[in-house]
Amino acid sequence: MLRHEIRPGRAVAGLVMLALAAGYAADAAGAWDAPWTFFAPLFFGGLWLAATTTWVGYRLRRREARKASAESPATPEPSRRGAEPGS
Amino acid sequence: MTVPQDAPPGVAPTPGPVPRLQRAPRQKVVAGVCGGLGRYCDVDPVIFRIVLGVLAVTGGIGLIFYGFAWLLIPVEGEEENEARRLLSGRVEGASLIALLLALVGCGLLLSMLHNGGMLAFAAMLSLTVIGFSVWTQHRRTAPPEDAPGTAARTPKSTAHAAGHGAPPEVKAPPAPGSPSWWREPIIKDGTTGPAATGYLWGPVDAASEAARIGRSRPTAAAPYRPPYRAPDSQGPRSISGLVLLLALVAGGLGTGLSWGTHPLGVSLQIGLAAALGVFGLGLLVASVLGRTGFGTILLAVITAGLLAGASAVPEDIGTDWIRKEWHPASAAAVQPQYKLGTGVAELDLSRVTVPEGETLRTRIEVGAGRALVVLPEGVTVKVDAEAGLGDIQFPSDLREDVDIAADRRTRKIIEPPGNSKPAGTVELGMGIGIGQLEVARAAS
Repeated sequence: MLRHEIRPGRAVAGLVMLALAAGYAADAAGAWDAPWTFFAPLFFGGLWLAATTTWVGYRLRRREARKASAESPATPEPSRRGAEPGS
Repeated sequence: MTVPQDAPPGVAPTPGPVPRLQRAPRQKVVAGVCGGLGRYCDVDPVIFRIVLGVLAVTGGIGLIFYGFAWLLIPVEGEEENEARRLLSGRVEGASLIALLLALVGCGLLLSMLHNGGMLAFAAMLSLTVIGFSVWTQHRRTAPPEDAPGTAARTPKSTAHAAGHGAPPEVKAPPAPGSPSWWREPIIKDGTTGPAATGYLWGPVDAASEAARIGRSRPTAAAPYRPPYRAPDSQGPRSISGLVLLLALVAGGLGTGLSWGTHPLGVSLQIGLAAALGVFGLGLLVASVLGRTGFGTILLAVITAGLLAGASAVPEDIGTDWIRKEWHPASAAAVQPQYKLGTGVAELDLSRVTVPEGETLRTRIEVGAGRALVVLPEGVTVKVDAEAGLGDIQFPSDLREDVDIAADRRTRKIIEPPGNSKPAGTVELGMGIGIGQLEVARAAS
């Protein structure tokens, strides 16, 4: 079983890593000269953005699950498992 | 050993003919390695504890063994060991501690390498314990055919003795707390069936989980219900191991193919960028398909840091270490510039004579390594030395004084010793990325 609902935090983290890799690959190929200021803002800003996205998605999912459990009491209370913060 | 016996007296021990080597979480002091070894070899674990402690102090072999055993031996009741978890991206505290133990042990072993007596002691002690445990294990598993009186004691021959018609051998009762099929409530029609409350106690969602899996009525063909599957195994499959493998391959290919044709920094940068690209793609894929743990993100972060470091390596550092010497015989043969990527460069000017009133200009540059310039007798030298990271040494300095600093630039005029005959001037430019610059005067 591979498919699941989209995890936006992972996508953001993956895009940041791809952007870093592309920048440094261009630097290695000589097409572009990566300055030292290229790394820190993209890296830390990107990780911060990924963490924030994960957290927001986690809150949204929890809220929806809580709403669903309030509407139908048969559904169990949403467990804290299912989304790990910071991923 | 004061470990409480968990089996009641009078009950035969349950393990099969050969117990598997597993860590024993119930007899653990650190990680249960010694307890598991003791159970495997049928030896009191205290022996292993004492011997491993002694081996840890005398040369660190005990620490190395304990760390690797922790990594490689799975804990009782689980299939995969810590090393597999670590390699598939699920980094946990336990596996990191095990790695650290092995690392500390390796350091201790290296620091004790010169001490042959201690190493010999450690080797002899290890051999003794290995021999002892192999002997006890062999004694236990060997069928004692010559001693029929003891046959009933060994589990192997007990299994043979229990043939058709024999009463079933005594078994230990199931551990309290585990659910049993006869504990299901009897519903109104007198049968047991799927009920909403499966467990007498336990987590709330376990009941619904068990009900969801489906509880079939016991039949003659299948008297037991299917084993309970942990909710974790229901999630999407992990792809972090595949991502790590692909990243390693991509990084190795990128660096390996560019190693001979590019400088060191660029070659490393190509490989690390390829690996980081694979990690990024893996994370992107994992946002929709499959699962990656925190370990993949950690590895990607480490790779990105290494990549930034590799991009800061100066371009003139090559991938090969060269030793080069120049011995110009006259002032006319001295080139205006000498260059070397990585290695040791020596410019020997001791055979060059510079007449009084004349000036000789030259420059030596090394990417990483060491540059040594030997000056002719009697000349006055104007040095302009630059080191990105390293040390600059002049004839007046003490040789032992190595002082490493970043972005160092020194301009200095070195006067000849008073008793030498007067000569001209040498203007010497020196540059090095990482390493040591040294100016020496030829011995007269």
